[in-house]
Amino acid sequence: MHLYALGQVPWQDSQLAYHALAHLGREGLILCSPQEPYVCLGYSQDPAQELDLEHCRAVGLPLFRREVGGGTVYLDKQQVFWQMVLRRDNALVPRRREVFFSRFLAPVVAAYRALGVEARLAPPNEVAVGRRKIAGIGAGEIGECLVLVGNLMRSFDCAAMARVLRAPSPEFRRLYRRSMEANLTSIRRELGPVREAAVSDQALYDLLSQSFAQALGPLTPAGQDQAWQEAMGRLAGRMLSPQWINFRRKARPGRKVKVRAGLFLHQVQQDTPRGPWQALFTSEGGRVSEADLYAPGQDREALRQRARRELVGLSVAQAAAAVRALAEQRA
Amino acid sequence: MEIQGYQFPDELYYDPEHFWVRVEGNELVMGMDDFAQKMAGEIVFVQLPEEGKKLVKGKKLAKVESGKWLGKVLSPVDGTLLAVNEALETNPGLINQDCYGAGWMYRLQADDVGQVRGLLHGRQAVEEWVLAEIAKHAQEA
Repeated sequence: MHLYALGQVPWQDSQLAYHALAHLGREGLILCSPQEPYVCLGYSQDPAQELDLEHCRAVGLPLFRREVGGGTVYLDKQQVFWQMVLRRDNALVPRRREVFFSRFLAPVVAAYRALGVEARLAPPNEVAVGRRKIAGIGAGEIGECLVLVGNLMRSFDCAAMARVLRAPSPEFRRLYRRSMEANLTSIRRELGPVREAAVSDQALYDLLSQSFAQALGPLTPAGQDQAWQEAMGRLAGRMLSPQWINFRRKARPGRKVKVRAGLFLHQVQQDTPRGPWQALFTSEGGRVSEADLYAPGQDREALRQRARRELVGLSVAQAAAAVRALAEQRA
Repeated sequence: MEIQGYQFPDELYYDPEHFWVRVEGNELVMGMDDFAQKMAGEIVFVQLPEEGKKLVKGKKLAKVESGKWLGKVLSPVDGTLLAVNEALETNPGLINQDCYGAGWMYRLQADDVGQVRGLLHGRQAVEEWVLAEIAKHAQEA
């Protein structure tokens, strides 16, 4: 199988490359980083619902909607991308999804561990250090191929990520950022800035290519050829078009954002004649783990205590109903 | 019939890619089978293409996402997409809750309804296939 260590590439090429390779039905492992920051959405995500589009436009952040699963992520050159493309009929491809993830995330865990980062597979499909996530992962079927993509994170800009996301309130954005900072980690956070800075991108490529070779067999370095570049050009016409990026979905009430596996941040709002009541809560395993309430003219501390007392431990649906009932009682 | 905890209603036809098909006159209704929805886990997105889409047997009809995995739904027949289950737009988890009922996915007009005879049907054939699928998955555990 070929290894394509592309280095830093124009932001759009860091996504188009693996899509094009898969559409061509060709296998390979791509390693690269984007020269410029951008925001990448999962296939099923509506940018108008997920992102603060005005902010993205104002700061010149481009958007890309990929053809694999997973959620919205802010990407920049502090992340080294690994992108594996296998044909569906490759004998290495297991039938079970969880085996697919564990088999092909093992090289990522191994690369981190070789650096001294105590990463582990967090089943079914995350890489974590303790309870903190340390890689973004997405997978899917493109053409006749299966694709698994992700990153090694030198550092992650939680502030930038929290800023690009559509937030129904400033409190939501603050809580999201705090949750990200508490639940994500990076090479810099684990090893310190001096040791992180001492590791070159080339060293990360070497670690990844060595560990993926254990799972995929020998990897032969190669460069991009004309057919691949032409396929990227064709795909750019489609995947960079507003018609592709501006995917629309029916809006659901409230706001729910994933922080890491099993941990979500929710916002529920109930309008009353005196103003909106807003509940912010996190859920783990479907149950409210932390909660806060905001309402006009109400004592902040009393609301906070009430949220903890009455919402923590409920299911997400029960908590949403409780907030609505509470707001209506006080209206 | 129940096969090692997986439900496979007798009257349905089954695509080897784990989609079921029910014949209703000249039309077909399809969805994901119980084995597939359990293997997938929580379904978070079902693509609902425009009605009228031309379908080719074995080619992509739509996409489905669960657990960071964006998979394909392949058409079981040549034909035309007549309708989609709009409820899946806001509640794709219906597939997990009731894959043979409220979680149906698409209604198709087959060019030749006889194409369903190429799918798996009947207790013996379905049981053999499902047991073989379970065994293959168990080998990978």
